Amino acid sequence: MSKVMIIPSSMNMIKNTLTMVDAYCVSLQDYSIHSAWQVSLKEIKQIKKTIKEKDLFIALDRNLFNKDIKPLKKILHELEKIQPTAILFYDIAIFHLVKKENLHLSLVWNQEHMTTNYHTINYWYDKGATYTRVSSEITLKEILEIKKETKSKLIVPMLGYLPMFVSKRKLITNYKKTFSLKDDSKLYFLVDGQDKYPIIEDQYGTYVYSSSILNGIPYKKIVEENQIDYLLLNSFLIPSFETVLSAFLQNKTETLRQLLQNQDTAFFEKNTIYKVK
Amino acid sequence: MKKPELLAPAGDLEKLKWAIDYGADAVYIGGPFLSLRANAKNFTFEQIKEGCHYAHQRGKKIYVTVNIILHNREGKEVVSFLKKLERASVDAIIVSDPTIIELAKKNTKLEIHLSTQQSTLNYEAVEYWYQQGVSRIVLGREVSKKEIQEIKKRVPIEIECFIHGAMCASISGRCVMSNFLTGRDANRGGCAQICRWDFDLLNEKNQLVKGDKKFTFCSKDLSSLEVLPQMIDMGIDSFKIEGRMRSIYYIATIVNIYRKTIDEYCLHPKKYHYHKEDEKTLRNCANRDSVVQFFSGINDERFSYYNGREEVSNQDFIGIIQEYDEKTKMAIIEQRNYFKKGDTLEIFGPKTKPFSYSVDKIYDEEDNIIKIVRHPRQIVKIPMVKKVYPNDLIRVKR
Repeated sequence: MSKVMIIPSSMNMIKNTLTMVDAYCVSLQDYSIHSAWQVSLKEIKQIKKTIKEKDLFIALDRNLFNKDIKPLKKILHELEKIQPTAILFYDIAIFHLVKKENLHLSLVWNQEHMTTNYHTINYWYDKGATYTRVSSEITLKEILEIKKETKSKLIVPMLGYLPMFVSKRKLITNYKKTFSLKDDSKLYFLVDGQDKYPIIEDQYGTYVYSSSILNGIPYKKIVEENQIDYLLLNSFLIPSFETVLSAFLQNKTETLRQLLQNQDTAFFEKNTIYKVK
Repeated sequence: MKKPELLAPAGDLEKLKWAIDYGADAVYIGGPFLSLRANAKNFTFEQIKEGCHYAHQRGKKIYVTVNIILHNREGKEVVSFLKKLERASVDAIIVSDPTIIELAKKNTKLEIHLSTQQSTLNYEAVEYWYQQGVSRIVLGREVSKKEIQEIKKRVPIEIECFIHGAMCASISGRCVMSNFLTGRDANRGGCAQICRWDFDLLNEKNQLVKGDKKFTFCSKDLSSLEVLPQMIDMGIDSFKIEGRMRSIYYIATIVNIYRKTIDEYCLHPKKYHYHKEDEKTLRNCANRDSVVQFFSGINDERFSYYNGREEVSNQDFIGIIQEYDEKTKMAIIEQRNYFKKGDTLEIFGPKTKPFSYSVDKIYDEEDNIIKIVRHPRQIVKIPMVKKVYPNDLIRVKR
């Protein structure tokens, strides 16, 4: 049976959803992106106590530079003591260090737009990453084919804004500085026709998200029937997330449609093209 | 002093030959499959073979990009493709998906370079790939000089760095805006360059945050001419020029200038001085402003480019020398852009050190004197003040 995993936005959200979900994925402060709530090691320990036997995944999904490596080693050793279910890595340095330091940490291959095929999922599985967070840019058919062809435990995004762009550049600050603009919003939107894309900046760079919220409820049944291991719901930028979660779990399609006004099914049934004729 | 490899792009066989003739030590190209420039002409296997033959005869190398991120269905076709590349005698493949690395190791003896698409930015990640049998890493473009130095010190692997060309605004591999906005898959060669689009920017109160120009992700181009001696001193193994979709003139000009700079510096490092006029030529060639980028450790608004499509028109390139008659000192040229009597022309080529002069006579094919050359690919004759060679290029100094 598929487990439900959420990316929470606060400790309160964790407490409010304890009866609803099987797993949590939290983002480690200074080593992650794409999350409204980043937590310290101390807070991770607290979360672990709060959720008890439920699965706890820790995301370290930022690109890393030389200066990040030394502190990262210490963090990985600390995480080993906490024993989360697994840690999600984007940068290969994390995978390499876990193996080099012989740490007992399970790993999730999480190179967000590259987790697109079972061949490479099996490559990382054979190397020791026993979970994969599957790309949002492949079709349901491809996801189900991957499931058949791999032993890796799959985490499939089912609801939430989807990451589209990561830059080391501080693009909003650069724009404001160039044209001497004063505005201290924490969240911005890029407008293209009717579409509004959330864009956020932090000390590590700039991130852009899909204009629509992925709502995978039409495919929930088939995903569960095919024993996808984890259905992932991201609370990032979604108001009243607990209500949304509850509607998703109870298959209340119409309620969800009303709660998530700008929603779509992303690439579940849409093949991308790469040769323009 | 170790001379770095100068690595040029080529979108077709003709460009490959121009790149080699103008001084590239190696050329990277895309094959008929699995390349990240799906919309470039790309090479057939026959053309790859011919390109390798042309390069090897001149002591140069050919690398083939096999750098898409695979989907399920493509995985099965990789081995036969790699074997064909091996049979065509390519010197290395440039790869980002580790499945292809494994298949290349098991089934061929091809040398493997890791593409910048993996965004390798630290020494631990570099060490991992080194241990997997990768012989060269194309580092992510976000690394600084200090970071490259540390990586070089810690891992005995060949390091390739971009030195010139367009920059992704994103960390390579982490942008799928093209997928979402156009349905074209960025990590499989379909990138629609959304980062060059203009957008309105709204704040959290839905108010327009408006500068003199619209918001864009667009970055100035990369140019490393100013810091090239530092890069040579650091022992970076290969200097890569971006641009498989670029023109012959672009490739010849950029390769020619970097070739000259590398040779000058390596021959007499103490006598070498930076030629600012070369920087100007590079800039005019690309039509866009360029800066040193992350190598200098800077990450601020100086990188941003808000000029949209209002770029200076590049009409510098005016023709190609087809023949030269030493007796009459006349050159036959094929026109590529408008020029006229009185213009100052600059001629350069693999064997021709750049020289300038004012053209005072122009003849058409019937030897009639004309004042203006305005027809595309028009054949004209002009007197030369120095010896020139076929395939030398002519630009106008405006």
